[in-house]
Amino acid sequence: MQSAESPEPLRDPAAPPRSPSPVPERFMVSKGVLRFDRFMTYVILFGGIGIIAAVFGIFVFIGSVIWPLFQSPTLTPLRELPLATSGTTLVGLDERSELPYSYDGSADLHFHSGSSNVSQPLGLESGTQITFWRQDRLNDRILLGTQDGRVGFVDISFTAKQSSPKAPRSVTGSLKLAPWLALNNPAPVESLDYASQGERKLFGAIVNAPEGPKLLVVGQRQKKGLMGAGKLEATPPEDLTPLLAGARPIRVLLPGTADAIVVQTQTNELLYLFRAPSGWEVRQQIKPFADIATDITVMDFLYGDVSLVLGDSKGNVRILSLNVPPGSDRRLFAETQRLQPLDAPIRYFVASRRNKSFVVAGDTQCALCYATTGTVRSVLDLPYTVRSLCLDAKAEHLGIVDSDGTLHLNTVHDPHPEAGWRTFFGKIWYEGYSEPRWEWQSTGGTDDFEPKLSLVPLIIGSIKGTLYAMLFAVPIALLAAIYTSQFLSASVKRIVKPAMEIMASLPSVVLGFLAALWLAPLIETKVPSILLLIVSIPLSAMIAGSIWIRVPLHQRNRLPRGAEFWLLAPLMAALGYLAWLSGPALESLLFVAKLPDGSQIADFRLWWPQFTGLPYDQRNCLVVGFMMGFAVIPVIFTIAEDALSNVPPALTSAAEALGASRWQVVRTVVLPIASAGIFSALMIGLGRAVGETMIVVMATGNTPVVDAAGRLLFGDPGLGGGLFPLADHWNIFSGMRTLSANIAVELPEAAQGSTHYRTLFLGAFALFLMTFVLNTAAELLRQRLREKFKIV
Amino acid sequence: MPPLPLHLQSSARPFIEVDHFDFWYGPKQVLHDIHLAFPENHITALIGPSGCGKTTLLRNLNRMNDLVDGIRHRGDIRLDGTSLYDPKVEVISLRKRVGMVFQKYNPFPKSIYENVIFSLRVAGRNDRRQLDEVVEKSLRQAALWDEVKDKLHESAFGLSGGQQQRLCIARAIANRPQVLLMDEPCAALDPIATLKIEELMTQLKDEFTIVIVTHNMEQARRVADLTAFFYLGKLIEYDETLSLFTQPSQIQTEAYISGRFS
Ligand SMILES: Nc1ncnc2c1ncn2[C@@H]1O[C@H](COP(=O)(O)OP(=O)(O)OP(=O)(O)O)[C@@H](O)[C@H]1O
Ligand SMILES: [Mg+2]
Repeated sequence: MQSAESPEPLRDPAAPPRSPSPVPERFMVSKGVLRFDRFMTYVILFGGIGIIAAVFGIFVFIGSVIWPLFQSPTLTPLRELPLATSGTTLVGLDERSELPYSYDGSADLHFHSGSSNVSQPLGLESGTQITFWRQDRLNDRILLGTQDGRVGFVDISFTAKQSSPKAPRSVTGSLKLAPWLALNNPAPVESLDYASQGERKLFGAIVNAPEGPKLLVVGQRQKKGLMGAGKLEATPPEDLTPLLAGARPIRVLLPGTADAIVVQTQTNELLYLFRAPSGWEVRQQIKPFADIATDITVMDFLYGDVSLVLGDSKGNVRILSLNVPPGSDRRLFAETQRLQPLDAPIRYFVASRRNKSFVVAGDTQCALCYATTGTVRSVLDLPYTVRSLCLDAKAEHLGIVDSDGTLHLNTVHDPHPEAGWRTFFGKIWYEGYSEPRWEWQSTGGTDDFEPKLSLVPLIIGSIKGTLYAMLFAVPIALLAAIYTSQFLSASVKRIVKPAMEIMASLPSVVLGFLAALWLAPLIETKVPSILLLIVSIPLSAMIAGSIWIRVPLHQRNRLPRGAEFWLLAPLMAALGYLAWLSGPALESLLFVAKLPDGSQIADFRLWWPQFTGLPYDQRNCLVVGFMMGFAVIPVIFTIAEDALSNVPPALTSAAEALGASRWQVVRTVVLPIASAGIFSALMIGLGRAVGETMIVVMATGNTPVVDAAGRLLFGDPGLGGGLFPLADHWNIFSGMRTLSANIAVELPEAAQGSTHYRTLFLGAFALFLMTFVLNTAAELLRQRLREKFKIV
Repeated sequence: MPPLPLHLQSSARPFIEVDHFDFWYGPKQVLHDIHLAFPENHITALIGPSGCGKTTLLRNLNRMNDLVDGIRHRGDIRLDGTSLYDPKVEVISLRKRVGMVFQKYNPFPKSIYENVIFSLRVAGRNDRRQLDEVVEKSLRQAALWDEVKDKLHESAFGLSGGQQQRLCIARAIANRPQVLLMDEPCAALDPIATLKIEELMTQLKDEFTIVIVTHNMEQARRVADLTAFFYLGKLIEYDETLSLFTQPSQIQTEAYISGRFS
């Protein structure tokens, strides 16, 4: 501090602070600039937040659509009704569960409207004693069997009256007794079932005749008269007891086809009797609980009459389904599902009349189950003992009768019983299939169709389409980009690049159209030629290269840079044409298929399924791969070409000045520096291929459905299972359906809010997840590349 | 036969001969009838105002201009007696003989080590011991060794501008070319590094024929044996450095070197 005494200290602490001198006008930023700056800041902020909000919004929307799929069912008590009779065994519900009815084997049926109980006589002639009664599976109908060996049924119909929209509805029931059919065995009926298929109607019954129980069937035919449906005409009853080989029948079931009977015997065996043209025969004999010593307590069909639900006294529930096993030509039962056992013995069963869900109960437990997935969706532990179960036609209300004769009505809310992780991603043994499969078949022709909602074939389809497209597109696009940016003479490049950019803007509908109508039929017969082309094109480049090297230096130097293209192009074209022509020769040499009559034919289309066991479709992955390739090539090409051209010339000239050949410059300098950009190009191409919809829709048709139908009809032609469980999914000569195509095709016809609709959204979500994971991984890799080869 | 300056005609052999060379970028003629020879194992400086065609001439000496679209030339350039434009000449091997340091430093986005040995790599030489030796020798000569010897395998982009320039010099001399073309090699360097590079040049003179472009008169005076002055694409004067700077025969030369040039 030697300057402490300096005459003028820089700042006197005592002095008042120096007032800042005004900033000259020319340094001031004008108001307009500031205002515009602030405005633009807000616009950009709004845009950025808007994008994030939009993406998030889509997420929330998709999530809210998917979420209900994974919700468990709810059962809420609705009301309780005391029933008039205590020994009640049968209850039923009308359409809106406003007028439950009960029947206890007497001459009257009781309707319970809550406040009053109305009894209505069935209209039996006096002396008729009902010994067996059960509810029909599909209709409001009670099947009746009498003491003297007659069978029949009573139909219940409901009429609702409502004087004004505000007034309470009043529902009344009425009964109509069908004419009795005699079994010609005057003995009490012990078990009974009825099936009606068009004009063919069939009763199956067990009567307890003095000489032992008998299994009898009696049919009816409706005579078609001129005036429409005519009189029912009974066919004489047939005695099927001899087919049982001495076993005592205790329960019969008739599938809706009215051509078969399932009989349960006292030894816990099932006999599947079938009416062949020559007469009734035993088709199958099953011991469903052979592994555990137990009694079958419940046996009934699920909606659709293809699957049997069996319950035993130990709480086990198993499902048997009809299918054609490999090597057989007839439909037989096979166990497809085993459910999680309940604690209580299974005593009561009721199946939904809308889908494959059902309810089983015993003692104080009651469980809501779904057959396709074999899951117990919800278990209720009740404060009372169950005596009977009923569901309304829409499976919205579940009625449980307790031992005191009170009907407990519950609302069932299970809109998506078929959904679940196993459905979407696991193998499931569907009805009619000979083994568990991944299958997508969302809609069918009939009401009792079992939806097959596995996303696996679609995900594989997406990956497959993308893979084959990329396999075709990436080498071509990248090599073309390298060649164009680094080797091609500038004059040709000026044409090539815009041409490719125009190609990138070709609508994919046009490509799909070309693929379906032109390429698919063309490729179908030309696979060997294409194989040869794949070999011949790189080969011609190699030949051209080796010729070029042999050209004396002074002659080569005389040609301008890029002139070698004019050597390569005709050679490639000529060799390609030759390869195309010699396809049939290759075909007759290698791809010879044997015809069933022993003769041989050179046809790749026949050879492929024979050699590999995989199907060959006309609209196959090769077509999709080619066409998607054409959609993807220009995208990859333009971006990669830009990346390659943007490598600073200072670096390429540095490399050239150090004596690197043109290819060395490309390999050591251009490619590493452009790698991040090339990677982006690949990712964008991949994104286009994954999401590509129109080409796939048009070029592959409806393959998953066709495939499934084909398998159903002709057994299973694929390798599926065993060593290559997915082999036929990956077959290049089979078709496919991608997630995106699936959404495009099915979303318009999916009912909003249905399981199908939500599953399509789940597919969209899976697609999103796939691209998200892929893109994130790619972006991380790209960042690393960019960091490694950054040039600033 | 393009002449060497008088005093050298007996003692030195012309290594590069530029024979009535005209050069066009598209329609624009950049070099006009350049006629001169660069003597073997000497340093020749090219000076002249910006845009007069020094870089263009330099880039013609190793045919780097081939990369540019729409160029045209007339006349000839001969390296050790063979024309550069002889159809038998393979450009790649020509560039291996004629090394070049660019006006703007341009290391590759690789490690320092890989940068230095790039020319050996592309020549297919991969013997690790030899490469190590070359790296050390080149970096020492380029006055960079001490600064980078501990981070040879780090990216060259971590170096300062001047260090990157010296790296480019090391890279150019790694494969021992016969001719070294240097386009303002010291533009980005501090005085000490500049001196080191100048030292390097004098040291390399025994081995290489060096052509250097410089805007620094002092540098030309210090290192160059010969100096050529260009103006508007024409060779104005070419002489021994000392005489060109002390007794310029042309007024333009005198005006330029004395800084009275507009
Ligand atoms: N690639 C090119 N295309 C067209 N004209 C060019 C090109 N490169 C240089 N020129 C022109 O040629 C002339 C000579 O340029 P050159 O780079 O040789 O000058 P220079 O003497 O090296 O200048 P400086 O000292 O500024 O580096 C300039 O007029 C320039 O505009
Ligand atoms: Mg220059």
